[in-house]
Amino acid sequence: MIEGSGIKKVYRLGLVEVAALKGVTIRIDRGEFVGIMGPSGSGKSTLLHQLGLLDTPTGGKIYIDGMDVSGLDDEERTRFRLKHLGYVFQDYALVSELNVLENVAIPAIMQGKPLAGCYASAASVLGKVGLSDRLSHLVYELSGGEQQRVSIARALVNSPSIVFADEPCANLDTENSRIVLELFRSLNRDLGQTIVMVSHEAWHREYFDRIIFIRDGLLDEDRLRQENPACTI
Amino acid sequence: MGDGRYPVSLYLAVRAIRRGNRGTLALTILIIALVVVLMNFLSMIIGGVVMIYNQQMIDYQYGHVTIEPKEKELYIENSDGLVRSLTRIPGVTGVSAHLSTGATITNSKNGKFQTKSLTAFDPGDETTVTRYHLRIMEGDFLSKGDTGQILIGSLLAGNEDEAEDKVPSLGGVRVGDMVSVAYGNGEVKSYRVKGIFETEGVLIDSSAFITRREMDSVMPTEDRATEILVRGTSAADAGRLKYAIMNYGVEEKVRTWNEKGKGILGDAIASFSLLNTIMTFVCLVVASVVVFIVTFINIINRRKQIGILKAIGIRRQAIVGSYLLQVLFLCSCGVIAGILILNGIAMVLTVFPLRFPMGYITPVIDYSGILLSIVLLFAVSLVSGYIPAWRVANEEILNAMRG
Ligand SMILES: Nc1ncnc2c1ncn2[C@@H]1O[C@H](COP(=O)(O)OP(=O)(O)OP(=O)(O)O)[C@@H](O)[C@H]1O
Ligand SMILES: [Mg+2]
Repeated sequence: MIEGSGIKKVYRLGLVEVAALKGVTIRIDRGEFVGIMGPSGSGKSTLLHQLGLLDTPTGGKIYIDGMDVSGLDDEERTRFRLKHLGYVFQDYALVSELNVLENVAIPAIMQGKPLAGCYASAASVLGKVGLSDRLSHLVYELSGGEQQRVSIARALVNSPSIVFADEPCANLDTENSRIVLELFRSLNRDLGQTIVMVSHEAWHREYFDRIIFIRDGLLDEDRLRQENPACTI
Repeated sequence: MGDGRYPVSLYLAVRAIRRGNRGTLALTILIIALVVVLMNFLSMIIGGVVMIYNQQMIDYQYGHVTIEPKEKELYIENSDGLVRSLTRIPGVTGVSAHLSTGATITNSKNGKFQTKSLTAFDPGDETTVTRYHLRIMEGDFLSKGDTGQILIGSLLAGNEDEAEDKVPSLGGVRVGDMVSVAYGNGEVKSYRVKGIFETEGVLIDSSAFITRREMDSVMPTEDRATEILVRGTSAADAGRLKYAIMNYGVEEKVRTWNEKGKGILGDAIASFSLLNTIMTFVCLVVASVVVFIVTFINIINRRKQIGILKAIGIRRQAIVGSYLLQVLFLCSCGVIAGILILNGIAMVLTVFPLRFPMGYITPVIDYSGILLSIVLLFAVSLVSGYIPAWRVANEEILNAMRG
């Protein structure tokens, strides 16, 4: 489903080059709930951004559903993200001028679906994340946990093949983190939603089907073998 | 949108306006409105000046077409015959021959005098061309058979207290008073003031008139004129009337009111127009800077938001479009408010007109000028809104999302 081979990312800051990813080869299958873990600065977010087409790798190839997405131009990548990928960010990343329903509906509206249909699907995913009674609230009227659930609903509204989440619980307390993780688990178990999530909280591990460990921009093979003895990459 | 599809740019723009900062919105609209007002105010006043000046030229000085003596001649000879012929030309509604001569008019009461050009006409003919007979503020207009009577302008009549006079006057002449007129040929005659007229035009209101009959009794001026005024059906048709008269075989100089008047106010109007153009330009620069800053600040504050929208798959064009729609909305509101303010000013100035040397000016709104200024305003605003919107919308998603 997602295949990355030799993904490299070098950031250039003037004369200084920072190699955030030094050639990562991974494979994530349909229906997996995969965690990406590793120390701070190891390149977890960078990897997620490359896989989620939010950035262009300096080297390597990425295939999603067998399609080489590394060669897409900006316009095609935008369309691909809209149709096939969903995102959940650490800081919720909601649009403050839109209310809850509109925030969730906007990717559907961008798809060119009739407005009424967009609102119906938005309301239905908001129901799944338990926010049916908050549809017309503005974003700032919601708690952090609720905002994160709105952002999950937005990620789901176009029925993406993959949901990417970059530390979605970093700004949440344990209780709200649990709500979010349970939500992800049930989406994954019940609907077969593929989810790739970055985390550095050890206790999140119980939720993941599989963990990809990153260290210094490379896969941490030792950790991998240690933690996922059955898995060979 | 019949199929229910909704443009995302409009969707975002509507909500940004509705849920954005009301104060900023109102201020921006106000500034654009003031720009519209500034761009059009001066030309509104100039329009009023030009209109009243043109009307006065036609109604009191030149008619629609003026016929003057041939080159190097002092008089139009055989003027009576010419007047009769002119009357028969299709489109001519009135003809009046004038005979003007220099004269010194003295107020018999106080001895104050003014040297003026005194004009004689046939009162019956005159009412077909000019409007003096409608502007009599005291006494009566001249009648055909009148002798020993004079019609004078209110400014020439003046006030007993010199301080109240706008131009040198006879120091307070009233209807029934006697003035003496000394002609160039040495003749001095006493006249009773029959009427005083007031047109608001400075030059016009300091002139004086007698009948042809009276003039002919003083000087051998029969069948002569210094000018013949012709009135047609409309001011705009003056050019055609001029050619009709020339085609008729009139050999004297034939000129329209427009050609006659050009020299006097033309330069002033040209200078006004230049000022107006400069002002319009400055206003447009102000408008574009305002729209640029408003959009720029708007967009800088929303960099993160734009990054988010792009990340979740909203097309750049839709994002830029939403900002352009917001600019269009601001401009439309500003333009409407500006036109309302302009109309308000025009209304106030109609009730309390501005006083100019040629009389009270009521503003004339030039809608074609307003249209042009609006088109220019929209053009500069869209460009000024587009530049920052496009720049931010083209930023790398992750950079923009970092805020
Ligand atoms: N835009 C950038 N410009 C330059 N260097 C960057 C940029 N983004 C990330 N880096 C660098 O790349 C490396 C990997 O960063 P990344 O954000 O992927 O780490 P991370 O594993 O997500 O860390 P954390 O757990 O703290 O979020 C770091 O050394 C970071 O400094
Ligand atoms: Mg990170």
